[in-house]
Amino acid sequence: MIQTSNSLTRAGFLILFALGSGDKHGYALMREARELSDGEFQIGPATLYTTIQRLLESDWIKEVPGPKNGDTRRRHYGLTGSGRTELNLELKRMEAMVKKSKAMRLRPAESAS
Amino acid sequence: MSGLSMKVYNGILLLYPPDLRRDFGTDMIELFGEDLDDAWRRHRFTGVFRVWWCAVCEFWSIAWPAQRTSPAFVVPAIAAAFNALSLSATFAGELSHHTVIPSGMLGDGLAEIVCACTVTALTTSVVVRTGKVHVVSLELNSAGVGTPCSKSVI
Repeated sequence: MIQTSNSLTRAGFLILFALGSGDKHGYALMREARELSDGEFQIGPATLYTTIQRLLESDWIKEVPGPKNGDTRRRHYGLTGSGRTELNLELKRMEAMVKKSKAMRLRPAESAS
Repeated sequence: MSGLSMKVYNGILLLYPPDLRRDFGTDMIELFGEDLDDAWRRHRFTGVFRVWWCAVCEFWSIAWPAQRTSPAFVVPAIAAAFNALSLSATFAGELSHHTVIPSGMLGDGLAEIVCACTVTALTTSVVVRTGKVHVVSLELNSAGVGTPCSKSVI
């Protein structure tokens, strides 16, 4: 099933975000996704690989060869062109929402806090 | 402790969708083990508890909804409902006399429920172990005589 932009889950976004800085294997992705959410979002093996499966089907990420000296058992993943586009679109959407929330005084402006 | 946890997690993995297991089963077990070792090194029992808590939450959010919609779960559930209905007083009373259930102690009503639950548990365990559902139904001919016909569903 092809995912649309609207169906990017939080785990999906965190994985795309983590892959934005370079190719990673499953465990590194899981740890970085946890760190990105300040430990608030507990991502486990099932959530990680269910999301990876969906992102692969959507062609937003792809399996890539790992480093030559690395563990050959580990599978590495990287962003595709459409995955990077989707990540940028999602970040723009988030920025726009933050601006709107400030304009609507739903949250205090940075200078006020 | 890690070895036992991995074995338990391996068992839980059987309840996850087959395509996820086929494509990422080994990776999931390895990742769970790594996470568990790391959690033990950093936070000892609290860390291990957190990893297991996450695994249980994932089971309820991913494996359980998938199981609910799969025939391997639905058919025994329907069988349970059917058993509960079809075990009439006479039949259940007769059945409970032929089982180890002390119907005198439990009462006929409770014996019926225990019988239904036992049949359901056995059906479910067979389904979980074999991964197959054997559906048996009766086809009625024009004379109203039933002919058993069976069908296996994966």
